[in-house]
Amino acid sequence: MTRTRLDWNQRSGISALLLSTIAVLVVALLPNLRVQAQSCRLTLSGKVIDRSTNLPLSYAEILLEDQGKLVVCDANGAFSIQNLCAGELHLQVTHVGCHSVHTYLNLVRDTLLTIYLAHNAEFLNEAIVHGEHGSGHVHRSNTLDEHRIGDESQKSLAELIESIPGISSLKGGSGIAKPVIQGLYGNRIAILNNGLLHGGQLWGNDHAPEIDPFTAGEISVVKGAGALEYGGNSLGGIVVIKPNRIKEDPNLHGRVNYALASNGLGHTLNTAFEKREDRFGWRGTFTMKRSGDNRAADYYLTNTGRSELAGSILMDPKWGVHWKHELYYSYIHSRIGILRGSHIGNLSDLQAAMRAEVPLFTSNDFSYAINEPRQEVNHHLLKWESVYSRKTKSSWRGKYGLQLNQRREFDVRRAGRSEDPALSLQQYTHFMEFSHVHYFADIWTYKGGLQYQIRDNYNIPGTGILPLIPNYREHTPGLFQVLQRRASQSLLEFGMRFDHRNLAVWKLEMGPPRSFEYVVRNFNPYAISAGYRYALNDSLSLFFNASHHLRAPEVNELYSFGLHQGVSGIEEGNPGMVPERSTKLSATIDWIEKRKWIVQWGLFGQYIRDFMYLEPTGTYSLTIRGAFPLFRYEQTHAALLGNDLLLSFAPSDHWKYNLNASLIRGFNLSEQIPLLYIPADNARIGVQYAPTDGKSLSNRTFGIAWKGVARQYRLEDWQDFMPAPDAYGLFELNLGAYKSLKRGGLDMHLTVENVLNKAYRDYLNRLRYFADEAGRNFVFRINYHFEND
Amino acid sequence: MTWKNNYTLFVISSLFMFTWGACNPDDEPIPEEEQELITTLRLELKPEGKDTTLVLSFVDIDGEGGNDPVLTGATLEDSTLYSGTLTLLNESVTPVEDITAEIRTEGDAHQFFFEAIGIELGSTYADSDANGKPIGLAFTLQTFGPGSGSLQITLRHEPDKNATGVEAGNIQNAGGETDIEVRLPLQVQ
Repeated sequence: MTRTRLDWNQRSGISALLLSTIAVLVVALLPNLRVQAQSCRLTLSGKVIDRSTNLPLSYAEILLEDQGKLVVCDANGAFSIQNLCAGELHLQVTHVGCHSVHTYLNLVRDTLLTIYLAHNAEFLNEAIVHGEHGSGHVHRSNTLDEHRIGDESQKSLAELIESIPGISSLKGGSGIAKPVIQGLYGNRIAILNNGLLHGGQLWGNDHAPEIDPFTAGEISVVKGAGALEYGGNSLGGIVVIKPNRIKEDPNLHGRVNYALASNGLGHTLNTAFEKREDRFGWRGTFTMKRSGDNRAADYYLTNTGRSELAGSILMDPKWGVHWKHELYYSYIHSRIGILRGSHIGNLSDLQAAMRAEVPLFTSNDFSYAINEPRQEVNHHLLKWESVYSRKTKSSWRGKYGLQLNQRREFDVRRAGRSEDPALSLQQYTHFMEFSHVHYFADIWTYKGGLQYQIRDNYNIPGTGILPLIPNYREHTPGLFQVLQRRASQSLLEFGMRFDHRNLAVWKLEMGPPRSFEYVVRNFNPYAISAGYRYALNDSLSLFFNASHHLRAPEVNELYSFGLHQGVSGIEEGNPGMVPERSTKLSATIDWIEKRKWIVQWGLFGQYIRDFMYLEPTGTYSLTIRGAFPLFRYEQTHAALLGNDLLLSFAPSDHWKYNLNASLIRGFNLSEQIPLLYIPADNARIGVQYAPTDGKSLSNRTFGIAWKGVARQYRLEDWQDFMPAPDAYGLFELNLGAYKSLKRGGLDMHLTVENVLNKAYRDYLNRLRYFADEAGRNFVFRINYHFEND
Repeated sequence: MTWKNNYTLFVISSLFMFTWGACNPDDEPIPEEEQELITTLRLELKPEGKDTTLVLSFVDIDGEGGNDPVLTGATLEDSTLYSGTLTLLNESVTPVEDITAEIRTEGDAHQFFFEAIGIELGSTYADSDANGKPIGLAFTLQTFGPGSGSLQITLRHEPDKNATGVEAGNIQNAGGETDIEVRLPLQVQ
């Protein structure tokens, strides 16, 4: 056999990691030899090998994207795919702890292919790979891939990642959801959008991250030492959103998704196109969402409509032999209606609203109108990144990102002032990074860098209401270092990070007359982390992680002041806050047995000294509008304990059973009471049946799932305005099928959420005081993907 | 366009955005003019046939939060009919802003409710909005027997004035949002 060599380095573009360097070596490919192949009798075989150790990667997964067919390598990393047709082939190769590789080849005869995968620096955070029987997709337990995101693109970011074990979402209405990772949320969770920390208003529980999940190729939750690269504030974990690399494929690829939801008559349209030109590759995405009032089991949720427009463009010009560049821009605009009945004047109104069977102001008719109270948000993100790598052993990266976040919230007000925002905030975030990655002595990887972030938050005057958050500017220079040692069975990782935070605030003095005081505060947060992963054998591996963080108080914890509708009370910051110190230990056991059994069990314990939280003081502040409970930021010692379990059993290619459960406990140790907003115990059980492919339809699936959420009974009566909602269980049905077309394919899904139209409320939703959650919902989706010359 | 040009364009535009973003908040901000703040509620009570006027008030100059409000009550005579007038002010600004007219103009979207606590009082509306429904900026108050208690005055925004009893002054079915809820101490002798 004649052998020609084709070698190219693919570097993971947008995600931060150079370690994800991927080398695909194609051996014995004869791209120019025009042999008239006997159609559809060709064989593609070869091996998947670890680039750094040269050892085979057992049970790596290869997805033939054109046919949606999944092939699993044997224990020696070998694979053989028979009966292939001559022509173009798109492969996606995945393995635990490695970045997935997309590769493209023109098959003209039997071919032997060696695929080299490089390990990812995020390896310790990676979870196990699941072969989804029937759907032809692979997914990792802490990661959502492009297909999953596309399949549920009508959902918000936080709702999407809820399917990852240990993740819940804190809601402030329909479509307003923020992630809760192992019991922590808000300022303690960082969201990394495209290599940049998301620059938005993190503090409010009624502020969802302004991100269109459809721009992502992958959404994952990382908790280990690798996360230190992204900022030390994240005691809970980081949600990492990154687009896929643009494929090394000269053909135009495109995806068009459309989803129709019966509840709220919601329409979602997504499109994505990508192509590699001679000197650069590009991808553009576009999303449009429009929905009206949702319906609970028994009534309309008046004014819960939503509209959204989002787009992004990614380019990676090939400019300089040793350089990789990337330019990314994204924009999102959303208008979100907030349940009319949740807008209350004072505590008596809240009590009346809680007593009401049907929320106040409920209309008998469906409407698309988005009236006050509502939110209007714009978010721009622009990023440039350049990577220089002369040798394969080391590389340098420079990055600059700019984000502009504009948030306007409108209330029901007197004298035509509803048109004026009650809250109008503008936030600029600049981010600069210079970092270096170096591999040495075969098993060591070092990564380190300098970062600088400037955040500038400004209240646009003219609201007629005193701002809750003062104007401030924050300079944060930082330094991080991560060292990793990779042997054949174990992986050891250390990371550390130091920041200096200079916060300048225009603090409001109540007067009268009202005036401002310029206050400058300095903090030195830091974080250290160590992780160890050990593979006992092919199927069993253990993972331990220990970390210590010092988190400086944020501006809301120090200086917020005034009436906060989101907490139905008067909120007072505490300028005397000291940084909180968190120590967290976690362990995970992964067990994969012949691909039939997959078990992942994670345990964690976290102690937070001087934990900052908003405490109901038990006193009422008397105002002309009546009495309001007074909340003040206080510190206590807190502990969180929890575990999450993921279990998957696939006795045959047709049947698959899933169990996903999470238990978390939170303690306020100083006061001997439970912590607020800890997710209630929950579990999800699912069964999926995938019959043998039919003539015209393949990947047919039928699924049924049940999700049960217990009552959060770990609460003292006085800790909340009303007792926690009752336990509930919901059924969900899924039907799916795939139709292969000449140059693409059609994916069809029908999902029925809350099949029994159950009326229920959830503890993690602020609207629990006012209304039930949404009732039955039929969602029909059709995804068309194609490729063109 | 060549790559070099493209790159230059990018650098220029990002520098522009950088400086634009960095320039605004160095100056001391101007305190927000609180258009909707009501710091003061004043109730003038005039006994029928007499020339005296009693003034009751709720004053919270620094608005929500901060210092506690100052309440001023009054002593009424038994079995007497008083005519009441309400005035709403924002005294945190100079000149002082009168909110009363704003409420009157939007009379169909507002209604006051009066509840006696600990004493027995009767109230009747003495004004009406464009639809002939009561507002409550003007009303009458009748005392029935001596005692000590308070008068709770509630202003509802967007109440359902057609609901049962609302026109007669019953707050039970009124709905809407509370803009004002104050309790003024009262003695009846």
